[in-house]
Amino acid sequence: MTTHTKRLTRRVLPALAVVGAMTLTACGGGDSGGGEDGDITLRVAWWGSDHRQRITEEAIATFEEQNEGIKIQPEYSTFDSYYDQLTTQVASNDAPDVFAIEIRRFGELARGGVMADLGDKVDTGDLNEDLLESGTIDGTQYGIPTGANAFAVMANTKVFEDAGLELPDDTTWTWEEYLELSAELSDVSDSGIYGTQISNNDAWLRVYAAQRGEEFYTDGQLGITEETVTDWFQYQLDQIEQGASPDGPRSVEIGSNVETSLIATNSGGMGMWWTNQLGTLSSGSGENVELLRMPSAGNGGSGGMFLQPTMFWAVSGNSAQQDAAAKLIDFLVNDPEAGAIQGSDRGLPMNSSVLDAVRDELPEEDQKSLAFLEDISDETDTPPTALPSGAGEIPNLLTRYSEEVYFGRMTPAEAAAQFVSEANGTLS
Amino acid sequence: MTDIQERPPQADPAAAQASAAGTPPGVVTGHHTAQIKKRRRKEALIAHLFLAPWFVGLIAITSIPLLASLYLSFTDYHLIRDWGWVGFDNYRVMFTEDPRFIKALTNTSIYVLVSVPLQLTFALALALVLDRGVRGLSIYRSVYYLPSLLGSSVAIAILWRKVFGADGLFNGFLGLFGYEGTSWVGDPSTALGTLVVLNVWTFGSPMVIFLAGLRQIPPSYYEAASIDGAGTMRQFFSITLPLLTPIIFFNLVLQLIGAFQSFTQAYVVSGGNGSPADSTLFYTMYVYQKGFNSFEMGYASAMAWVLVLIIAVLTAVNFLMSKYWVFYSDK
Repeated sequence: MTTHTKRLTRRVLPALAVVGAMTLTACGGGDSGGGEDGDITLRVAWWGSDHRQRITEEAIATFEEQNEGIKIQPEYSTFDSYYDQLTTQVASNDAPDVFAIEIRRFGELARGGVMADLGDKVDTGDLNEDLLESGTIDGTQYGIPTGANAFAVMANTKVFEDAGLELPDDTTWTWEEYLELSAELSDVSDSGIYGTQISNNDAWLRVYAAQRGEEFYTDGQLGITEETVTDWFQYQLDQIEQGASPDGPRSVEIGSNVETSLIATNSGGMGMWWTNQLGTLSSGSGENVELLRMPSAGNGGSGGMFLQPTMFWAVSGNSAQQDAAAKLIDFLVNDPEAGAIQGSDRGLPMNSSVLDAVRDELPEEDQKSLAFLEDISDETDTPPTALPSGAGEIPNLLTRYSEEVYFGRMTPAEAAAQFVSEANGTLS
Repeated sequence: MTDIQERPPQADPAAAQASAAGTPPGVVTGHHTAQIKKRRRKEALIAHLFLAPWFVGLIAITSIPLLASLYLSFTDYHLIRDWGWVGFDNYRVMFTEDPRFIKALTNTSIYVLVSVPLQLTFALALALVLDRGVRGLSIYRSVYYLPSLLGSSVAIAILWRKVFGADGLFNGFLGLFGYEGTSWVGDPSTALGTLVVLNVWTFGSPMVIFLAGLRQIPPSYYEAASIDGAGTMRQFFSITLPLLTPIIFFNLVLQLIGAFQSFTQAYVVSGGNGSPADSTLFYTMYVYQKGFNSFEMGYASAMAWVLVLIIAVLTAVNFLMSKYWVFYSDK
């Protein structure tokens, strides 16, 4: 046996080393994209539904027709695996030329020196300035927003009708009234139908805090006070305890999936969602879903609502074809034809001339969102600026500590204290 | 190969190996030896050639990353930020400053300690029943084996979520007895339990191995025992169980290692975050979260190595203990 092993070491290992080295060089070499015939190949990555894949590929095909010599190689995936893939590619210097990214992860990657400056490469003349601002870090434009979104209350009118209740006046309502109305809806509706569904979305906490004059982040740390977080956890607990929403275990099971939400399944009257989710909620329920302003703190202060870029387009700093990459982004956000193809899937178009061109062709839900966004436009706070590194983890922390509260394992105050300290440890 | 059958069974394993390798024992002339040597070399070369893809795989996709992760476990390697050497810091933080690590370790240990013995007991019990010569044995065997094939799949985990959901099959069943349950996967006190049940349900693969083991026990032992007046229970404890201990041991080691590494079920049932309230946060899931949500690959690597150590120690203890309870009839 030992002689056998020796022989193996002597003969096979060098051979393997050679093969291994060959494999490694093959991996490291990669293809830089530039073909010999002058063609450029751009790798473009995004996540999303089948619908998004179809329309994005349609837009890309139009771009390829208009720009001979540029070939696009799409790399789409589901949201669940998107960042795994993207960050791994980034870490191995193999990032796609163009990629989509949310605001929650944008700051971290942009500060990591992963993205190219798009300031003078993409025409931003017609784009909403406030939203553009949130794609910058220290004045450098790393991300181009794809469209605008607002976090709002949605109401399933059928559930209200069946309960014999009127939709509330969303210009005056407070959190107290939201809770009461939800509890009443649960009461008078059939069993299995609830007033609202628990949300522990960080966007809600942002609104909630802004109404008290607090910013979510200041100087790379949490700007929200422990007291506000305590009240926010308490409010969620009240919803459960007063029967406004399903009990703890059910709430956890329902989770935050849009397709299986209470509104989409006609088993809940209200819920808080992003405006670009209205289409999914409406088509899921088959009923009329209305957009409402977020309730207020009743202190006469800011309503706290804000516009947020749904996501950004960014170009890899390592890309050898940054100009072509920027050209594609320019096309996706500024070209009316691209706008018509994409509709509001990545938020409502924020290029004013694109918007004018596609306004009448937008589906009914999009027109409704658009009217709502225009309605609230003079009440909204400025969009959040790029978030601190580690902000991508905050939603998970909020969910975890919310659950500790639902099941009485922590009081709201304990959960808030631990959340603040863990969050500040994560942020930088 | 025919020469093996012609000869009486061999007691000497070395000779058996020689004949299996294609060298018929007997008169060997010088001419023969050279020819045989040549043939053996050729065969060895072919063998290595066939093994080569596996070796390349082992080195390129397993060994190199394995060693790299050992190195990274001593750094604060972050996918995006700058990183450097931190010595044993990751390991220290894990055990002293990270309550979620302890939580993940506890969850996984409970899961392993409860589900593996239950699973093996079920597997053995069913194997015993099926071994009695049930009509349509192969159908039963397949039916019970099926969950083992499907158990770690995403589809079954999604199904599980539905079965133990608020409006799921399980509550429907309880409803027949007038008990109204809430969501079993959504309650932190029961969510881990649903995963234990899922693992127990995949008892098919140890069962098939038990069945094979049972078939190897010579029927003459039972005949002799029953002539001596031993009842079914006595036969089970004095013949079946002792002769089956090597199989039990094999299954135990395999299932323990597998259970410690389970990931998919918990990931899908909890929606990827160990919810509710970290009650289904498995060790591997926490490694994944640290690596791919927080991008802290250094820390994740350290955690992975701690898991390797845990499993290695557990397996070693298992082997040491086996001396006292595993009975090899051929020794």
